[in-house]
Amino acid sequence: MFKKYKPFFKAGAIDAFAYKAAILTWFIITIVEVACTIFLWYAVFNNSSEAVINGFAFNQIIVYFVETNIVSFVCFGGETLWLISKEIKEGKIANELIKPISLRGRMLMTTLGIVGMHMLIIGLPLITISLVVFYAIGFLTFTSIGALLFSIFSFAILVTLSIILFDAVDYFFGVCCFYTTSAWGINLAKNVIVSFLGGAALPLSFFKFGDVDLSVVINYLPFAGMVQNPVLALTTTYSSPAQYLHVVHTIGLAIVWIIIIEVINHSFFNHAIKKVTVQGG
Amino acid sequence: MSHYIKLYFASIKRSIMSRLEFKKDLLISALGFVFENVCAILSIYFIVTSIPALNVPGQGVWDIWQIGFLYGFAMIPKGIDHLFTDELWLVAYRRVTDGSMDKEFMRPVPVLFSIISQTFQPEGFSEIIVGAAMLIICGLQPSVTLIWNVGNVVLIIVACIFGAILITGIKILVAGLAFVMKRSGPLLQIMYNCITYVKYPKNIYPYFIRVILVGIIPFGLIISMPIEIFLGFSSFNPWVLCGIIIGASIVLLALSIFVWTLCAKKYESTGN
Repeated sequence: MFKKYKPFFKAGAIDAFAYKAAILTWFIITIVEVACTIFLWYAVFNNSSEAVINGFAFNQIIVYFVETNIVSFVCFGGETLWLISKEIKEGKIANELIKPISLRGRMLMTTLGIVGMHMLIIGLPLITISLVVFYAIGFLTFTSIGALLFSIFSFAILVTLSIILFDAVDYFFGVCCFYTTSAWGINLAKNVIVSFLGGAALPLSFFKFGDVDLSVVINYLPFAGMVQNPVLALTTTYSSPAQYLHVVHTIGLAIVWIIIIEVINHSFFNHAIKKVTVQGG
Repeated sequence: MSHYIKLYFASIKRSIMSRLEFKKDLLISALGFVFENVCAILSIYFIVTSIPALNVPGQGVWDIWQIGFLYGFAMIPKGIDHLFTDELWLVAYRRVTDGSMDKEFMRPVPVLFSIISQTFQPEGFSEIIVGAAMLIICGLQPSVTLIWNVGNVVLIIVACIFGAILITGIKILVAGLAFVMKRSGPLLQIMYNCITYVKYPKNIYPYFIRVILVGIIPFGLIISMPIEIFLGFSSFNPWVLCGIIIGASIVLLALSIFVWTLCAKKYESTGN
């Protein structure tokens, strides 16, 4: 089963490595963005009478944004939407549909190849360095080695689920390209939804209109599992059983959402291929 | 000159007609922009309302409506630029590498003119409309005191028009580098992203970042400074600022055209 999709995994990994300049650019952008974010939050905390705002102290918010930037870059590196859109525009999708492999499987393996390479050359080194620095300067603490290992292990699971979850959503929006040529607009909408509702722009606990706490609902959407939940699993100081249970709960939730979205994708795709009009087709 | 004006409008007319062929696509792109800005505005709202008020060094307290006013204004010059010069993104990202620039060099008009006149992006209107709506909504709030005088009104108009020219200048400058670098899109993205940081009062940043945002990538000059004067947070002379904005945008545009022309001479077609 895996064997026939292996070439796509390999191609994705090689492709990701070919664009070293893009990785370097991301690194520069991130440094500038994190610097500006730190000063913005410094001003915010300076103006607050509380040391903790919506569950985050200044140190925690800095850790959150640094790790969020790394996780977002690694997990959202797939190009499923663009690949589908390109194949529709170039008419190649017709050939793909008659091949004895599933389009979904091919897209997922390509994404895993790209993301795996990102994780290897960027994600793991940066996450390790940043964690060591944050623990060394006291921005992060742990109660026991067991708790530390739990956070790393649960992070690894949640990041893997995040990659699959994001790719499932990317595939959904990619299938929308069967109905419109505006892949650019669809991609923009997807990125905004994932970044905003996933907690990349702001931790979800800040989503409040007066006394109405929107995070209660948003935490149950699939997007929280893409950014916020993996980062919080990694950066939480575990001191009570409820915190461990919460992580298990987020893992379960991510799995449920992957199943739901894949089922929707399957039906959506079956509907879309009846509509497809390729150039010359 | 009149020949180029006629040519420009003929080309733009063709671009508009071609975009209107696909109304659904146009609508999706425009909604994408609106959605992006709504989320960005909500992010600012959630941040600012999580504290009693944003106390900015040297300026006093900014409330959510004043920050919203600043955000709304930032969208106007950005939207104007978006309407007319979106093709530069394609040059920066892929037109040099995919070889589609070759035909531009064969045309009997300057390459930059040919590029700029190719695309009209009606999606830019969505930014202008959302920006204008925010200016009106936030400007009508009791906490927002606008200093109405001739100097400030002229300053705002100048900042909108010449701000758009300045943004275009930066885009031409960086997109032109693609002729040498092959792909300058990511660099253009970095420069463009700097607009995000002037959507907050610039004095929340330390001195060296302010110098970058006003003097080197001067979005602070065309967005933060005029609004700080208009809202009464700064006593800087509006006429002097008008002069600086006009001067900076013209110098930057001239410099960018010079760099573009220089880099275009180094262009090598794909496969050469």
